Amino acid sequence: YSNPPFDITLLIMQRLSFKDNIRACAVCKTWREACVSVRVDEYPTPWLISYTLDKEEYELYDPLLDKTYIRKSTSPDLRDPFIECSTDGWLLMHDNNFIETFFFNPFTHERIGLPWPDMWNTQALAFSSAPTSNGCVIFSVFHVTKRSVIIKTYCLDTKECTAFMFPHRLPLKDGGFEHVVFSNGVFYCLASIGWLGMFDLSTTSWNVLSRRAPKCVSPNDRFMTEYQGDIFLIYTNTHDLDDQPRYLKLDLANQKWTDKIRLGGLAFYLSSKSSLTANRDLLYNQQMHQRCICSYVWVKPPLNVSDLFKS
Amino acid sequence: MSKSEKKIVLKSLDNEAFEVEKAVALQSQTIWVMCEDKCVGNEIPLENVTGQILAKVIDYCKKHAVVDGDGDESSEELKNWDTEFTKNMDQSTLFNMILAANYLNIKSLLNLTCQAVADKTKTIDEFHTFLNIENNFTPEEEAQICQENLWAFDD
Repeated sequence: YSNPPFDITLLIMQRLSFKDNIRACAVCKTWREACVSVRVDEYPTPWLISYTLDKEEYELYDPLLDKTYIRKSTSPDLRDPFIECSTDGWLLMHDNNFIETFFFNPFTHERIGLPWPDMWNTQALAFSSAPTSNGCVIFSVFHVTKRSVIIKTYCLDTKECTAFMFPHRLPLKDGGFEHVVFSNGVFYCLASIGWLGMFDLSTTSWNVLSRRAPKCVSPNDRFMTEYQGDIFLIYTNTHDLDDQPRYLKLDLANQKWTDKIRLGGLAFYLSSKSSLTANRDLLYNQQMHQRCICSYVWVKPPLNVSDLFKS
Repeated sequence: MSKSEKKIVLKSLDNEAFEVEKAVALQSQTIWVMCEDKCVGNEIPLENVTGQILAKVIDYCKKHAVVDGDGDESSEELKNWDTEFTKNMDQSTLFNMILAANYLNIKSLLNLTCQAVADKTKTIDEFHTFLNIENNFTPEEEAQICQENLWAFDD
């Protein structure tokens, strides 16, 4: 027998585990093509969004196909906006005068305004799921002192804003929170100084992991992300990309961060505003790594992204 | 329906004839279409399948026809039977089963055999030998692919 027809190759590919899919890439050129095309559908990769300074447009970058798409902004107040965070393909952002706060979907241009003008004035901002889904909650750390923390949540369904005050005694020093990540019903807030606050949505309780995360050289070198309920910290050296990153995983049972974990097949997409994790390894690319640091934000593409971006 | 109408003869590439119940053979969409069109008599020539493979395909169809008709076997048992069915097949048989299932258009068998290949084939060399694929990467290209994704190649 000889080479199987391409559609049969595809049938086999679709049934390979993710790891075997990566290995099968090395079989031959046709197979690499089949593997990659299957991977695009089965394992969507985050895209990078960035706004072009002083222009009413933004760039969407697909790292898997190494393609950049330029999109025109639909409204003048979308010029140089300030992006807070991204969840499920949506961005939470402010216009450049900090007058309005709204959700924006960069793939479909949908926009959802928010009746909370002073939201930009908070220390940490995140939301639980797409604003079009049921039960989307916006989370913010409104005020922190040495003795207490004030948290505000806004529920999109009920349009209700709730404030909570929790007493605590934690060092603050300069800077508030570096990253907020939502995972499995809990908002995790990493303070610049290293302690981790956890706000549970169902019980509306606030707990603190007081054992601090290891120090980092500069705040831009530490990232927090989640994957299927696990919380990860990644330490990189943005000045020397040949330096191996350091990975830690949150171990709540033992109230600590576990060092030197094995990461079979996880890929971290890091940026200071939003870090995403996917079950695949990006073909490593130095240029990519550097691009994602500053004003770029990772955003999860919708499932029909290949239909939206046919060009 | 008379007895003869319920039976059908399938003839393999190497002229081996198999008499089977019509209900068994009609699990193949290809045969179903041929019978619908009345373009064949009671004997259906299958030019792409050898007798050795056709025998196995018929085994599979008999098992699944019985279950669909009588319902006296649980789906659990059927699943176990499927697993046993592909478990001891060598790679070349499996590969020919895929081609046969594709040609005869038996979706569940195609699914089963593709899954079996995906489960059994683990190393690059297995892919090469099993599917008889020529490696057309240069050694440099191959090394680069492995280097980029070390975690997937490290055991």
